[in-house]
Amino acid sequence: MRTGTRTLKYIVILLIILGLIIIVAASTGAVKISLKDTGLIMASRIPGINRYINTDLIDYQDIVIISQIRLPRIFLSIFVGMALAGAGVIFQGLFRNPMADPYVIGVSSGAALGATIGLVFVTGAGLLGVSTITVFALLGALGTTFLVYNISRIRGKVSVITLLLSGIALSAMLSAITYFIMILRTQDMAKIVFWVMGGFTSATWGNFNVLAPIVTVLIIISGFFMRDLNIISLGDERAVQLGVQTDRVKKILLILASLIAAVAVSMSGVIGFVGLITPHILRLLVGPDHKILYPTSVIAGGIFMLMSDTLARTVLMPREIPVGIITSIAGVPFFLYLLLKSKKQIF
Amino acid sequence: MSKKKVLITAVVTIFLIVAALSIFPGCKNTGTAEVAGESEAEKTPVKVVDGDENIVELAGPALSIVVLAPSALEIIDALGAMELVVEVDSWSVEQHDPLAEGFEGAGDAFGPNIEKIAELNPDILITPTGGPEDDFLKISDLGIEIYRVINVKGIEGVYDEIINISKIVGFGDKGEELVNELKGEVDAIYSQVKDLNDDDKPEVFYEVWNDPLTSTGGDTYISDLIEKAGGINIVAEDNLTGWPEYSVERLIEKNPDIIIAPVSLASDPSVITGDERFASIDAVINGRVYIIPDNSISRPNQNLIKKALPMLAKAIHPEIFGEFEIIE
Amino acid sequence: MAVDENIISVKNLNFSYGKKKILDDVSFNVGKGDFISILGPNGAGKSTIVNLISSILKDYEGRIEVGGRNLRRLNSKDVAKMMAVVPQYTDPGFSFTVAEMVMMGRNPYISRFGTERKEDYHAADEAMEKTKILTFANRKFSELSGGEKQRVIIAQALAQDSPILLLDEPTSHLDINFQIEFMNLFLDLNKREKKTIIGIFQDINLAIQNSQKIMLLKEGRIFSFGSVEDTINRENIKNVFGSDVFIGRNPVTGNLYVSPVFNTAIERDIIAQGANKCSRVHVIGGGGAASQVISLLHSSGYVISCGVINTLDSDLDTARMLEIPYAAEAPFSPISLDSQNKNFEFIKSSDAVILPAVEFGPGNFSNLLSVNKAIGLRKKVIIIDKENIRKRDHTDGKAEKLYGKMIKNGAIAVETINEVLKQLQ
Repeated sequence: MRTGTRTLKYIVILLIILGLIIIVAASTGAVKISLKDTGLIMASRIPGINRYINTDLIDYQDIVIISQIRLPRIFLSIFVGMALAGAGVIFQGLFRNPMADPYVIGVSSGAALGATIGLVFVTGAGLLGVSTITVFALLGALGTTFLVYNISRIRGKVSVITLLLSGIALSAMLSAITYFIMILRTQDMAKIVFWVMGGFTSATWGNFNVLAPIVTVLIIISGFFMRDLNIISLGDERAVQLGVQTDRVKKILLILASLIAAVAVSMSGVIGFVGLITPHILRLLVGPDHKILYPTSVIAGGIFMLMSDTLARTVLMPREIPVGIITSIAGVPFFLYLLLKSKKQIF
Repeated sequence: MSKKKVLITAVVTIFLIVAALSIFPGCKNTGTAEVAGESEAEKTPVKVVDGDENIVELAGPALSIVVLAPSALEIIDALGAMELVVEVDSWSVEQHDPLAEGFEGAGDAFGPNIEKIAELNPDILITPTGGPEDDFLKISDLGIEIYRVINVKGIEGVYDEIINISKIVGFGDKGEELVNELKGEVDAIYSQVKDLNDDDKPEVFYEVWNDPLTSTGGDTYISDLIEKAGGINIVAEDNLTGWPEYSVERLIEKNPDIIIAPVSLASDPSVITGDERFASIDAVINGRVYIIPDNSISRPNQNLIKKALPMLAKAIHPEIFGEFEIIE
Repeated sequence: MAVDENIISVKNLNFSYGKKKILDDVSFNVGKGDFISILGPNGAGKSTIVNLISSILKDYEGRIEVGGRNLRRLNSKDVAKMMAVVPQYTDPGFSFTVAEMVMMGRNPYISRFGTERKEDYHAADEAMEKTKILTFANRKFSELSGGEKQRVIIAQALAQDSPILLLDEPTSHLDINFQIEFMNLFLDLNKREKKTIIGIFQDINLAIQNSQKIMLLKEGRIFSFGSVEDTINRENIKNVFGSDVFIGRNPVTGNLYVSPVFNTAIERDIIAQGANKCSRVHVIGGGGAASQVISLLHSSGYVISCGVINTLDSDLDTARMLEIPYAAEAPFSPISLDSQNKNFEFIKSSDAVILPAVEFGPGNFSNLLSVNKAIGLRKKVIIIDKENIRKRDHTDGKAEKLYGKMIKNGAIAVETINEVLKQLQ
């Protein structure tokens, strides 16, 4: 079967799964709301159909819970999951390293420091419907990437090894600064820890409305470089011989992936494993061709994150488990299982 | 179109979208709490300053309250306003705290269950300071008032907290009554020791944690309690504030007469007397190590005065107040 | 602009890596359909030239034109459509299938926003057919053997459908069967599809057997560039590689071949001590037996003559190659009086005579007689391998008897050729 047809087939399957999980997620939670009511409320939000939907008989609080608490949470987690998985695919491809994840060049520690500064030193109502902390986290993440990238540039070329090393070094330094601020302001320590740990408990439409279009556009643009990414994995020189503008494409992909990761982290804190493991799992299922791997990983990342967040808020109701714990508990064994079952080479 | 143009167009489009979204505000929730029926208490507006130094205002006393702070729950109980409470914190429920009976729990100070709280739509949410900032922002966006419990620095703080909460529940008179009662109890104890010479005031060390060795500085309420009970807080003598790490050598050098610790650190005095580092300290040699239940000493409410203070007084001056005993 | 006959044109190419100069004023032209091999020692700059032409390295001085266009103006896809490189190894970071690998060769023809079309699948299939890998198109590249992997890499390059092929040691690490298979494939592509091929080969003989033109590169400069006959000779090889070699011609194929000359340390010591007393040596030739001796003595600096050999004898080629005077006879004829005399003249003017393990029959028995005479002339005579004379005696025992007589009269017998040198000292 041609690549394009296969890709489409997988995408449709994944989207159907995603749709089903959205419905399940929307109707589960600490507060019992019937499936029918859930469906009605969700439908009433879709422009076009909402004229025909009557939600008068539904409890006002239920409407608030679905539309202001669960739905933003569901959609935010999906988009953050997509962003992290997409960035993970790109970084693993660029670095030819199975250990690469979206945070590998310092995005997470940059975001954490930014958020810390925003939390501790800045007061304000935020920008464009997004909170101050988020804005500062984004600035921190982008600033760090910019720094790491410039440190690693030698005569216009970016060495992948230098990128990794400077990412590690800078991350360590920024983390140290963050901890130092935390010790100086112990009264804010808990708040910082909570932000970094991440989660979707406070998801708002405001954040989502800013995140979603940016992430969507970046993910789509990156998708056009997947053939190049395949060839770049043969080595920089070979890629040039096959007609790929290796330096330029690497630069572009690095920037795009870092942006995607930065936006995701500033919205939801540092949630691990999704960006690292989703590409691996999909690689075992659909193969290493990035033209197929990328779009499927993106959607799978959304599914994975949505499932994890839903479990996080339902497993020990009414307690909330931090979503990062669910992603590690769930992700790692599943990956090991696939690894053992498959005789194919993963990388 | 060349690649470069495509990229630039995409970037410009992003900016336009973001700008457009900021002009048209996102779907904001419209409803606010609906007041159910007439209120019984006085319909005077409430205005208090909470633990984050924010001004908390209500149109009238709260008719439904979610309490995620066990200390505040105890105050509400003392004021006789428990029927206004619609949910409590999950930890109290799991611990089978009698006050939590009949409730399911709505998360806790570090992880409030936003859905539950939204469903209950209380007039006010009482919770400690700290915790996940964004979650409480979200709750407040839903139109629910939030009162943060005061981090009391001294016994005076307890009075402020009780007055605040009494105003919130609309039992202002009861609040003042309780405060006066407490003042009397404090005075009853303090009057017996305040004139003692410093020589007659034992040196006390309150151990918060053992590794690193952590204690309470001069500006804490525990220090205040020790003083009111007729003791000298050695950490305060060293002019330390807050909840500092204390040098073990200094502790040995200071050689306090009494060591006090909460149950969460030591279930039994032997845990402390068994600590090799403390072998040479008078308090250990003379067996003057006392353990106090957490709920009595860690919650900034009336129990500090009704339970913690008498226990401390007995520990520090048994010759005046009688032998040490645990007051549950 | 007139269509350039040259598909690649390099003018005044200079390239440095940091401070180190790699290529110094290199200029050459490659005609369409040429098959050129670039030879030279490691570090001479061979790979650098290939990398510059294929646009991997960019900071060069000078002008490179491909298909009549300035290389600097071409973008990477255009370059990839003009030339395909076959590298020595490829190590993909992911476990792609063979078909996926080959399809990557079509990259220059597929737009970023487009997808593979029928022509692309067709071209990829064709490339896989030519390299005989269609049957394992769906296997993982990483599971193949070295030779099979190289077939895939060649197919990848062929899928680029380019008029020029650059081969960078494509077979160096493979077994001889693959070397032959691939060389045949390249030759085929050159002759039938008129592809221009520039190759770097580790194996000199592989290169000179199959190319029309050779470029000898030494220390970043072109030492020689021309046909195989013109460029491959002992001096050039000695000059460029610093080694002594034997250059012969394969009697079956007619191709030149280069054979390295191996001297152990002892031999080199002996050689280093140089020729002293006996500086003129005559070597009896016949049936190729003399070639080694001649070569060894020549390297040691002796002045040599040789005879009598027939004109089809390989000893003759050796003598010619080393420019040694010889006495020759027509093949299948007994040695004429003329040749005998000439041979004897040589013997008279030499200090020593060497008799290698020649086969003796009635036709060349006179050579043996000449040696006997040399003993009479008090010349130093060294006989090699006297033990096996019986096997080499086709004269009903006459040769054996003469051997015995010569040794009794003072001829020195040695087992091996190396001892000859010692005896001459």
